[in-house]
Amino acid sequence: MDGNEIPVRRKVPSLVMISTRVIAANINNLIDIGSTPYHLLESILCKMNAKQLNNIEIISPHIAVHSDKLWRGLIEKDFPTRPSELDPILSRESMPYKALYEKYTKERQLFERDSTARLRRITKKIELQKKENKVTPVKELLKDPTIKRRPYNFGGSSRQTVLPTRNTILNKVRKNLQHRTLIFKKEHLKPYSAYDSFKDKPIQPPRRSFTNIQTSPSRGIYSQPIPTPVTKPSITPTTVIESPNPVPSSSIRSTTPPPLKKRRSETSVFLLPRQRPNVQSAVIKPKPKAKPKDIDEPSSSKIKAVKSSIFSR
Amino acid sequence: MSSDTEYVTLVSADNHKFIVMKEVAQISSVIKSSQGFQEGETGKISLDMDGDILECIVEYLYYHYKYKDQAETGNIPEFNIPTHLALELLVKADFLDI
Repeated sequence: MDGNEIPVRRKVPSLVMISTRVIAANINNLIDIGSTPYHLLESILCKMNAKQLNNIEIISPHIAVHSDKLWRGLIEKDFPTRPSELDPILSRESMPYKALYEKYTKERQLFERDSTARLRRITKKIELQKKENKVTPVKELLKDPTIKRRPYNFGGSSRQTVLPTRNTILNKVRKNLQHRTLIFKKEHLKPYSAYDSFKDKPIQPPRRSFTNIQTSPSRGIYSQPIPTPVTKPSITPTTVIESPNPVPSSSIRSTTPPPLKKRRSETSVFLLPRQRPNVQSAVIKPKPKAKPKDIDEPSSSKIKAVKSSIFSR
Repeated sequence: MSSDTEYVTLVSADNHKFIVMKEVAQISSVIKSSQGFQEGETGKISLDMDGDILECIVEYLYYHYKYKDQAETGNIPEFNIPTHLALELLVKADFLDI
């Protein structure tokens, strides 16, 4: 035992204390206090909630005279974020703290009443935001018309990457040219395309020749059997790719229509047309080619061996 | 009944009489002070309370008398009161200063 402590004599608990303890244990069942004086019930009343205290004040008005300070405690308990100090207007009331508590309660009720409307507004806003980000299927991909885009050439004729600068001389020239082509259209002038030559004559599978075909591996696929005079013209020389091995001239046809001669034994990759129409040669000009290396080529053949190249025109 | 022991009669408002030892009754300072008056002569003390309340009070007085010396040393049993009488007992106990 510590000598500094004052010895506390334990006493038998008083009946007041025992009664207070029992009442506090059953505070929720306390509705009417009758004529019990305030000083006996102060420790019990301070534990009550606002609703209960209000009811007791209504039933036992003699309590209300003393209970205003209890309302301050209730403000601090129920509205901890709000100030518990009185303003001059409220201090004129008979029970100012109670009036302040009631004021805060009303504000809270208004807030809760509007909260449903507020929640709806917020939900709608969120739904709108979700709709903006929603993925929806579209029929075709449309480009934003507000964005200025340069015309994209699929043919790949524009090889240069376009710079973002707008005021270059080249751009001006381009624009001018575009305007001019719109005004002065020249339809006969077609843009160059390597595949134009194939468009006029439909590509047919290479015909099989049933004549004596002596194909030797040394000669290759372009090797010719016993040559016969060339009778039919074939694809224009401009479309023929020059092979590293010199192709016999019999396989190369000139654009000038030679006299019709049947050539049975000749085979070539390039299709020989059956008919002998006047081949349009207005656009494509035959080019002279080197002398055929095949010795058996008859000198009477009018087919000119033309050196062809895709780069030639 | 020993002549040394004095008794007093506590009378409730509904005419219930409780004969208790004077020493026990005098635990209450109010009852003790009333002995100097007419109650001291008659030995009857009328109290404005119901019989069941007075009965509970008398029980407490004997509880107090029995365990007053043991309170410092050992644990004494708890005194239970009926809940429906707690409020009135509070008031009367405060009146009797017990």
